[in-house]
Amino acid sequence: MSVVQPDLKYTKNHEWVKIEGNLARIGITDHAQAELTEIVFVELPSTGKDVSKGDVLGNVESVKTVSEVFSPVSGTVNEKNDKLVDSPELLNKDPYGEGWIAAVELRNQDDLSDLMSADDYRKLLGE
Amino acid sequence: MNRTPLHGEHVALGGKMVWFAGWEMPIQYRSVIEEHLTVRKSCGAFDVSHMGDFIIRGEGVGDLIDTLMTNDVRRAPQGKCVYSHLLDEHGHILDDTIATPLGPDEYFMVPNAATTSKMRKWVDSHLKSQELVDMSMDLAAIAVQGPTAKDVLASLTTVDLSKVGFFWAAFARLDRIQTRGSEPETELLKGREYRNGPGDGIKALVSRTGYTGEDGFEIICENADAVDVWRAVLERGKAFGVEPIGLGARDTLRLEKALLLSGTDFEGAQTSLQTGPSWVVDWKHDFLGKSVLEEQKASKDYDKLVCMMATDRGIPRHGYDIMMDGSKVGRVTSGTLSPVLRKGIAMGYVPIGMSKVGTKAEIKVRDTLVSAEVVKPPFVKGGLE
Repeated sequence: MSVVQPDLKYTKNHEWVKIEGNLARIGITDHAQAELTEIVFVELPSTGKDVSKGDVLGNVESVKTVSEVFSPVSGTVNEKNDKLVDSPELLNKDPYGEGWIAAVELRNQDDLSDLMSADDYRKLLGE
Repeated sequence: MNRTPLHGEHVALGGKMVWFAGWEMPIQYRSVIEEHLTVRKSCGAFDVSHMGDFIIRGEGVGDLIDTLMTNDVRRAPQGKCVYSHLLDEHGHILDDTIATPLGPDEYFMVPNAATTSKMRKWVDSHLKSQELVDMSMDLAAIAVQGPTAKDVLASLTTVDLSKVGFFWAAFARLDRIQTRGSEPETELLKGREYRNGPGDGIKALVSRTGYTGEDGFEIICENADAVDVWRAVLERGKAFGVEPIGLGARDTLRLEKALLLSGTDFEGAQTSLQTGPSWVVDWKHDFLGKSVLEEQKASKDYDKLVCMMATDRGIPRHGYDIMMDGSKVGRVTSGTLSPVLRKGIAMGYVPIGMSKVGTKAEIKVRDTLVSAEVVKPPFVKGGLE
């Protein structure tokens, strides 16, 4: 059974969002990292890049597969986790902590209302 | 969806089952990288029962085989396994296979899983008085691959397999493991002369072949014996570091050794001249498609399958474009992160003028151009090449 953190928001594509004032910190869930198995490469967005909700924010690759990470919100990429370039395995080890992917400065607070609660996400996983 | 006789074993071992060429097969049990490195360092056991199994026999079958195979299978001695391509009349590769003479008028041939039915029809259509016996659904195959494979095999049989050379096969009784006590029923295994004489033990065809570039064996036995052989390999093999290995690592292992994948590195429009290896074509004998290959060779104008190593970060994948000076020059057919080298590796087609070792190019990974260089195969040296 995978870990779902109660204080985060979620998407049906298995991204998580942590709201830090005007920033949305984004990563992939424990369920997603387990499905992907060992992550060997992460493609990060450039800081300053403008993204719309649903745009590809980055790519996460295992030996066998490439998986897109979609931005759950619209805004400007403010931070990216450069540690993942040399240590992509952080996504497996600590998906909700050191394995965060990027932080997007929100253009529209309303985007947050479309996100799922931890309870709803747990239901989606059927666990 | 077909299941091999080892399906229940895979599920019990925690194998993640996927659909592959009409079969439900384990893609991985633990991690692809760990499984891959296990095979390079010690030994892995693979279920390869999805592969096909044909006997082609009858008077004149040697001449028939000769015309269908790029390599000279007919002149191979009994028990010698020959890697060969089968071409259509346009010189295009239909499949790659290992063919083994079992006697003067009898050959054993292992087609790929996805092409088994196509190859049966193809060979059948060339038969005159000869016959093809398709035992694909009756035989299981277990590959034992890695530096300690010979020790694992020695724990199964008294046959001295150190005397079975690379790409040779022998009928062997696995007389160090319990038999179910009944005789084989397939044309491959019944009534054969076994290397260790008559007696107890599961009867199998053991060949020193594989798809990993390591020393190793492939054990072909009847479906009813498959679970006993599989369990014995894993249990006896524990002392030699054996682990079960899925199709995921099978693919990365073969790619590190630049071995072709049927349906991926060739899929109906390529010739053996384009794919190589050069020794897969024996130009001294006649075979279907040969004249096309000769014309192609003389033209010096065709795309060639090359090995490319990424010199930047990035993982090449099937279908990605190969670029040079801003233009597309080719296409990746197989690509992965090499678990041994920790670098992106790929095979793909480029014009022959760009196929020289050391040629620099880029592989387009989504929006990024990843620098790469044509390298000499295999990517990973060592083991049996």
